[in-house]
Amino acid sequence: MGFAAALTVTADETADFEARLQPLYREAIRLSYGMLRNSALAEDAAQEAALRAWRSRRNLREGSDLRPWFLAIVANCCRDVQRSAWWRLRSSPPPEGSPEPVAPATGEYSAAIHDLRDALRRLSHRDRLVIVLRYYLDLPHDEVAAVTGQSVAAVRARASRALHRLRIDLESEDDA
Amino acid sequence: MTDRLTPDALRARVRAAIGEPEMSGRGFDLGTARRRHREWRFRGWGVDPAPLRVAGMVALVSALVAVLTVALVVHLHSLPSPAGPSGGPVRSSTLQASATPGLPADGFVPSDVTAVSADEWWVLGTDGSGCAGASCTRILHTVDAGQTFTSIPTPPASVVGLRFLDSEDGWAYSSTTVWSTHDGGENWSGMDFGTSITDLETSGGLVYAVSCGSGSDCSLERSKASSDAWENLAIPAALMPSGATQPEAGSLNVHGSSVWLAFSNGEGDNRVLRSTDDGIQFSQATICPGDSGVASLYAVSTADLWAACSVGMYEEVWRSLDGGATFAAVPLSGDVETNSGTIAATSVTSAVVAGTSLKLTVDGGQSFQVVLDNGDNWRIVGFTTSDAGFAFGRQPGASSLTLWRTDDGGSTWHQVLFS
Repeated sequence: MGFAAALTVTADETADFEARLQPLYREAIRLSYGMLRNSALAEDAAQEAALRAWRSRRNLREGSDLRPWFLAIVANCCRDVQRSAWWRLRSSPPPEGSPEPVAPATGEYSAAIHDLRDALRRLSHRDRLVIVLRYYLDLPHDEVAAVTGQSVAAVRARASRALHRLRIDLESEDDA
Repeated sequence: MTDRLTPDALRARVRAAIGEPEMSGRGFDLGTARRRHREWRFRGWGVDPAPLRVAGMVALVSALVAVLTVALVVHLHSLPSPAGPSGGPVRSSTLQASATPGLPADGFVPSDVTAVSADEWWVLGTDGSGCAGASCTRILHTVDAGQTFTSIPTPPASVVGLRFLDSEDGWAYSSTTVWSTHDGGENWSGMDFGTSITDLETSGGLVYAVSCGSGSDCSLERSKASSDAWENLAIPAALMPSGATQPEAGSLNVHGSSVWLAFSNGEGDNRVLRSTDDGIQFSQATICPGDSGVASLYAVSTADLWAACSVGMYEEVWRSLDGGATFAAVPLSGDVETNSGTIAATSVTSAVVAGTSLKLTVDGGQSFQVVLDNGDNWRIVGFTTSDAGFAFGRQPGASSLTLWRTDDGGSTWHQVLFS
């Protein structure tokens, strides 16, 4: 393939890439939502991730799995949002218009879920990412490892520490 | 939330806490993504992107000019003054070595340790926390329980694991190569298996390595300690959980003629494969509930094994008293809480679990007490004798590991210093 040909983007290539990404799009939005807690932001982050994926599609080795590669880009987009001055200004209190998840019931269980939501928000980006991938998207440890670029053992260790921090956080809430 | 949750219950709570996003239904296409890209980049700044970009360029050029000016001034000031007849300042071109001979000048970051007695051990690591690659690999040797260290030659590769069987015979492994020495590290020779080496252990005059191809099953490689003649031992796929291809990380254990490997398929089928004839034949035993698998397996002897199992937010401790033929959960009076912790033991009653802290039990797991908590991300390496053992810890916020040692079976721990 010549240099000029390599730079030429055909409509077929665009359509093919969109078709490959389409099945992962909802999962990308769920990952973004788990990290950013705002539907509009989550959708924007997924769109931005799709564009970044398109631009760096030639970095994806032939035959390798698109899913962890794309979800890793989504996670990076979420991190970029959280690092922005705009996010820091608006993250406390939560962004206006962010849809609050509907509590399944009132009473003790609802309070526990509310506390857990707050505790998740207080986790670091990396800890929250592992928890979201593992317990929200229900990915197995090896896929979480592929997304985060860590070993399976490191993912388990991070998940363990994150859960430990959640527990301590929630216990301190209980004490308060 | 502070009660014991199964993985499924934990998932349900996390999902309920996060909720589900409201989808706009506008779907996905690259054209929309491109249109929204500019909006994304300047989201929330409250100004139009174009003037902002111009302002940014002006600021960038200004900063560049300022940096060049400062650099020029610093350079002019740093030029050496000529030494005149009256003897002006003359800069020395030699640096005074400040480190102990044999030790790196900019610190040593340990990553693995192996010992043949309480006094003689080798520590694998790198020079300085920012150093990486084969040239930064260093092996330190002590024969006085860490009072003094000497640096020994290393294999010409980025070594990630190290084991010594005695003072002369040792093995290290890099990505696909097992390196061996039979003269205490003076000379190393390599055997490239072409597949990833993920684990290596020695016992009873033999050395074992787990070798895994990309996405394929793993095999067990074995050599006599003195020969460097490796033979391939197949791990019987029929005994492994369906879908599992690779052993759990760090689960290779050898003791006498016994060999153990733990496997998990991520769907609740967790097994230990054991051989009592140096890896020739294997049988399997069920271990650990839950879909998170076997976090850690440790053989105290040919009869007694301990395991840490990942179960939701918590950990279960399992034990075998018959060489791994059967395993049973150890009744715990409290939570060990490190669901991916490592475990090592000195007897059927004494064990240390490492996770967010180091916890010791001396009553067979009925109770655990925290013996060290000034760090995070603990990893217990194991015990050389019933008293002497090692663990790695990472201080909160630190990027490099520290090595800790116990001389009393895990009751008290001391940091090993390399200065």
